[in-house]
Amino acid sequence: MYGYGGSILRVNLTSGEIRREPLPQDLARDYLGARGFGAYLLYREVPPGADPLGPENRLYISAGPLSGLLVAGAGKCDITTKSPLTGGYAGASVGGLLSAELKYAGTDVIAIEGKAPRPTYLYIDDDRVELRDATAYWGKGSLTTEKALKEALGESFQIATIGPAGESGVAYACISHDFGRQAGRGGVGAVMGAKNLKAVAVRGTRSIPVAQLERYRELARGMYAACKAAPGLEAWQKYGTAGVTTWANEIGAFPTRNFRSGFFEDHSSLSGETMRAAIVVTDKACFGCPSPCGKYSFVRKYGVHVEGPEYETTALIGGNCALSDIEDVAYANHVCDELGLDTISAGNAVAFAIECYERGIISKADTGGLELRFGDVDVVCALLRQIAAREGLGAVLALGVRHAAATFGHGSEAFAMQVKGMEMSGYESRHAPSMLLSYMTCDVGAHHNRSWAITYDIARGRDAVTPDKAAKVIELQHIRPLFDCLGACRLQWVELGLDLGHYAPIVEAITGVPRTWEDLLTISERVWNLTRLYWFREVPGFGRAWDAPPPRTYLEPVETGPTAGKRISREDAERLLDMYYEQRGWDRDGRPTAAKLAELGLADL
Amino acid sequence: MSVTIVPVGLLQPLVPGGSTVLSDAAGKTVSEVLAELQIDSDLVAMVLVNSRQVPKDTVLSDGDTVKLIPFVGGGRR
Repeated sequence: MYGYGGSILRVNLTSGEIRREPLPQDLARDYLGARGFGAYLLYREVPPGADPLGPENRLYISAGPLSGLLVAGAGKCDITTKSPLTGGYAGASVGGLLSAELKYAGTDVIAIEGKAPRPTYLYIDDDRVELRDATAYWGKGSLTTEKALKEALGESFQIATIGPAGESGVAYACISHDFGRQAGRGGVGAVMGAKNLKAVAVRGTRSIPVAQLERYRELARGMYAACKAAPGLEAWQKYGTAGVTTWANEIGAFPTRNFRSGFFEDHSSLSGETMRAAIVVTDKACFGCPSPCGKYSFVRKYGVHVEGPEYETTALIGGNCALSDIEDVAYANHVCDELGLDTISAGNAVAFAIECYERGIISKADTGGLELRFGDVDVVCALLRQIAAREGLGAVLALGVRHAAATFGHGSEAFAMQVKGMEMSGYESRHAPSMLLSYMTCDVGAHHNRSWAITYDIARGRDAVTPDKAAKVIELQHIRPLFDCLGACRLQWVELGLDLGHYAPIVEAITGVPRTWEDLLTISERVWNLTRLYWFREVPGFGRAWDAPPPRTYLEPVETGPTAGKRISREDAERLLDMYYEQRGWDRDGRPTAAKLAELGLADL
Repeated sequence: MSVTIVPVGLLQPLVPGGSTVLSDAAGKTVSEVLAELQIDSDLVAMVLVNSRQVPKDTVLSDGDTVKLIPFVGGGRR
C-alpha cells in the first residue's frame, strides 16, 4: 500500500505471541491513519467495560500516511487506549522521530495487549521483533531509561518509555520520547506500566512506497519553501510555544493559582524572551520539521537539562503554581519528565492541593507535615515526587483532581479544574466562550489541542455566546485532529500560516487515493463521532452532564488581571452546548443521531 | 526620530504598503501605536522590538524596529 508501512504489529504480552498482519485497505480508506486507526481499533477490539489498567485494555501506537515522509512536520505519532484518568477515550500525540521509524520498520500500528509476567521492553529492528527483559530499567526515570537504551542498542533506535509514574499507575502518567517529548494526556503511560511494558525500541531501514513520486517531490518542496518563506518563522523558531506566555497574560488567559486568575503578576519572569536569554541552549526539531519550536535548555541553578518548558508547562507549573523563576519552572519540568508525569495534569493536581490546604480542607495531617503554599518550588517538587510514588497525599492526587475532590469533599469539586476527569490545559476561559466550549466538548477531557478557539473569541467579541462560536469549535475539531490522523504537526499551519490547501494533494500523491480536503474532513468527523460513541459505551450514564464546565467557571469571577470580574454563566454554558449539539447532529443529551451516524458510515454502531 | 512598524502575514494588509515608518511613535507604548494603526492588540501574538520579544506596554525609542507576529490558524476568522 502506497504511503503506509503496510502492517499492524500485534504483541500479546501475556502469551509472548508476536505477529504481523497486513494493514487492511478499508481501514486506511475510512480512517486514514494514526488517531483514526487508534480510535477504530479501540472501539472494535477492546471489550466493553474493560479495566483501563487490566490486561484486556490495549495500547495502540500508530503512524499516519504522512509520517516519515518529506512533508513539513510529519513527525507525529498517536497513542490511543482506554484512559485510566477518565474511563473514556484517550488519544495522545507525541512528536519526535518515533512514527517515522515505525514506518521505516514496515509498521503502521503496534497493537499491544495482555500483561507481561515481568518488566519487559519491546524490541523492533525491522522484522526482528522480541520481548526483552527490562528488569534493569524498571524504577528508572524516563530520561535515564532512554539514554541507557540508546547506549545499549545504538543511537539509531527510537525509544518510547515510561518513568516511575507509569510504573506505579499514576492516572496521568505519560509516555516519553526523544528526551522530553511526551504523549502526555489521559494516562497512556499508566496503561503501559500496568502491562509491565517499560519501553518500546524501534529501528527501521526500509523505504515507504510513494504512488506519484515526482508529484510528491514537487509538492513537498512547495511545502518546505512556503514554511521557510513564512515571515513569522524567525519569531516562532526563536521562542517556540513559550512565545505566547506574554500574550496569554495580556489577554487575561494565563491560569494562575489554580485558575483563580488569568493573569500572573510575575509573568515577565517566565516570558519567552526571559527563557531564551536565561536557559535555552539550542533549538530542537521533530522529524521533517522546517520550524524547530522545541527549546533545549540548561538549568544552571539545578545543573540539569530539559526540553522546554513549553507554554503549557509554564502555564500549569509556572502560573498555576505561582512559580516566578523560569529556572524553577524548568527544573519542575525536568522532574516531571524524569518521573513520567504529564505537566498539565500534574500542575493542576499540585495547585488544587495547595488551594485545598489554604482553605483548610486539608491540613498537615494530610500532607505529612508539609506546609503547602503557592510560589514554592520545593513544595511543588515534593508533591510531584509523592504523586509519582503514590505516597502520602500523592496517593490521592495521583488519580486526578476529580478523584481528589471526591476524596477531600467540602466543596472542593467547585475548583477541581477538569472536564470528564481530565485536568484543564493552559487557557483560563471565563472570558472566552468558544474556548470554554472547546474544553467542554473535547473528546479526551479538558484539553486545548482539538480546538484552540480563543483567538476567535477575541476577533468576534469575547462576551458573545452565539451559534457561530459553536460552528467554529466544530470546524476546528475537524481540522486539528485531522493532523493527528495524518501523522503531521499542525503548528506549520497555526504559526506559519501554511495553507491547508497543501495537504490533500500531497496525501493523494503519496497514497495514490484521490482525496479532496472535504474528504479528509469527513474522515475527521467520522473519528470524532466514533470517539463520542466510545464514551457512551464505556461510561455508565454518559451524556450532557459530562460536558459541563468546572463550577469555578460559572460560580466565581476571575479575580485579577484584564479579565477580572468575568465569568460565563451556567445558562450560557448550556446554550453553547445546545448550539453545539444541534450543529453536530447530536440529540439534546449529546448522542450522535442515527441520521448523523448513517451519514458518516457508522450506522452499524 | 522614527520607529519602523513591520506587521507580518495576516497583519500586513492592515498597514498600507505592508510596513510603515512613524515619526511620532518614540515615547509611546506598543499598545498605543497599535491602537493608532487600528490593529487589535489582543490578536498580535508576539511583538519583537529590535528582534527581542517585549510586552505591549513597552515604551518605544527612536530608531526601534517593531515586528508584529499574528496567530494564523487558531480560529481567528
